[in-house]
Amino acid sequence: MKIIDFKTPARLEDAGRTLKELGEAGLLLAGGTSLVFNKGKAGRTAVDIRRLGLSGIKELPEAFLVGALTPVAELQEFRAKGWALDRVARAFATQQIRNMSTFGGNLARVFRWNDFPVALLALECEMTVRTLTGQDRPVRGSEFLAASPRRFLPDGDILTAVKVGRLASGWGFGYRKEVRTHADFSLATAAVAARVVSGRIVELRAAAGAALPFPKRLEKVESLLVGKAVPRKGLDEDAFLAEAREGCAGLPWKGECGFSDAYAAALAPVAVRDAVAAAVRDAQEGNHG
Amino acid sequence: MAETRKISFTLNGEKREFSVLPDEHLLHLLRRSGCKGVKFGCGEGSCGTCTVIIDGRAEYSCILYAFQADGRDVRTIEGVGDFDKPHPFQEALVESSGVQCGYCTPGMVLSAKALLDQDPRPTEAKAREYMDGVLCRCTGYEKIWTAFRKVSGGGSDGR
Ligand SMILES: Cc1cc2nc3c(=O)[nH]c(=O)nc-3n(C[C@H](O)[C@H](O)[C@H](O)COP(=O)(O)OP(=O)(O)OC[C@H]3O[C@@H](n4cnc5c(N)ncnc54)[C@H](O)[C@@H]3O)c2cc1C
Repeated sequence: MKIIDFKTPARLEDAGRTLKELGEAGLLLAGGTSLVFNKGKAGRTAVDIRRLGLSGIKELPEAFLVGALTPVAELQEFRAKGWALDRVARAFATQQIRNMSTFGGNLARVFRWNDFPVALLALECEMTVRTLTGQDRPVRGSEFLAASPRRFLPDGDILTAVKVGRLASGWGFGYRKEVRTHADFSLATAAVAARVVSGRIVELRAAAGAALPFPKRLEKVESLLVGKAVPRKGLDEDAFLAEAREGCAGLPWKGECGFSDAYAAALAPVAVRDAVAAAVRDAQEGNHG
Repeated sequence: MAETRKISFTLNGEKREFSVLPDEHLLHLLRRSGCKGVKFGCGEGSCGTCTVIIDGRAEYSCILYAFQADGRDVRTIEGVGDFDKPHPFQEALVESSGVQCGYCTPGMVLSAKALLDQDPRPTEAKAREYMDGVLCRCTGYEKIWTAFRKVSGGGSDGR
């Protein structure tokens, strides 16, 4: 793709209007790091929204409100009770890419390997989209992330913020991605939020991605694991693997980077098992709430 | 043919104006402006030899459009140190034989500088996190870490 012109609107409304006018010839630009993956030859006009002030993290009682233009590095460095995205950010590419990429850019266009969509399915979230008419439209995260986000972002509509669930007392979070080398694109990603009470998993949200076309909640894994006892000492990770395998069976796992679909189907439960174990450990250590 | 546009940013402490093409990457603008320490490597944001510091943060200039630097503060290796007055990490790299072919060195120094300016005594874990964006195919990294430990004071987390 070739950038043939650029605009730097001073207000969100102007950005929306310009994008609407440009239609297919326009491109909303946040960090711009996804452009290396755009192989199309058409010339586009970039509408740079990086300076519109949509950046920052606000604490709400039960959630965090994260501006869409917040750099991934800020998520990596932010610390607060119940905040889990620093762990996801640390697993994201390299420091230079973390400094350049925005949170919203990672959500507005889902590549299979993208980290935050998987994590947000486990943590639960709600997107805010500023429409061309100036309305702030809330969209449930599970809907937004279920297929191409473009469905909710017609030309001129802009993702402005995301409300990210805060882990309450008793909850833990685990995140795993299977990569060949450090900073490589993920072959299989898993995120799990679990609530452990008196040595038993009482609630669990599991999600997987990278080896699936779009990230997905793993309801079968969830139902197999809720109610399961988790001994404080000597967590039996092999037992989780059996359930992860059973729970992941039958999903359309897809191998990337030369790996077969069968390999992806075998790898995904390992990522899920490790994320479950990490979430349970996190909950048992009482790190949140 | 796209038209050139004017932008301005602070380059190594000096406010300057530039004419840029919309699809020109910052790397090429910097090199044609005399900053030859900014190296072209992979051209896709993976190897790190094009690293520059923008508003205090290490970024890849090979995938950043030049216009995205408008109004910002850009620092290249030319603005960090030279033979007469090297940055302490440059000195430590020489002392520790942390340089071989030298192609990654500007990116390595700028990554270290961005971190050390923010946190002069980072833990080893934090340093590994912040220095993970530059590849070196000569040294095997150990000598670079030896140099880094010299300037970051060693550390107490087992390094
Ligand atoms: C070498 C490399 C390695 C990478 N590794 C990883 C990795 O390990 N994990 C990972 O998750 N990502 C990784 N990424 C980054 C990821 O692929 C995306 O490039 C990045 O998250 C996009 O963020 P951005 O701010 O750069 O968005 P941009 O590239 O500016 O935009 C991305 C897309 O979303 C649209 N968009 C952006 N913001 C908004 C908004 N607020 N509202 C509406 N639409 C919007 C844009 O129009 C564009 O289509 C990597 C990128 C590179 C170059």
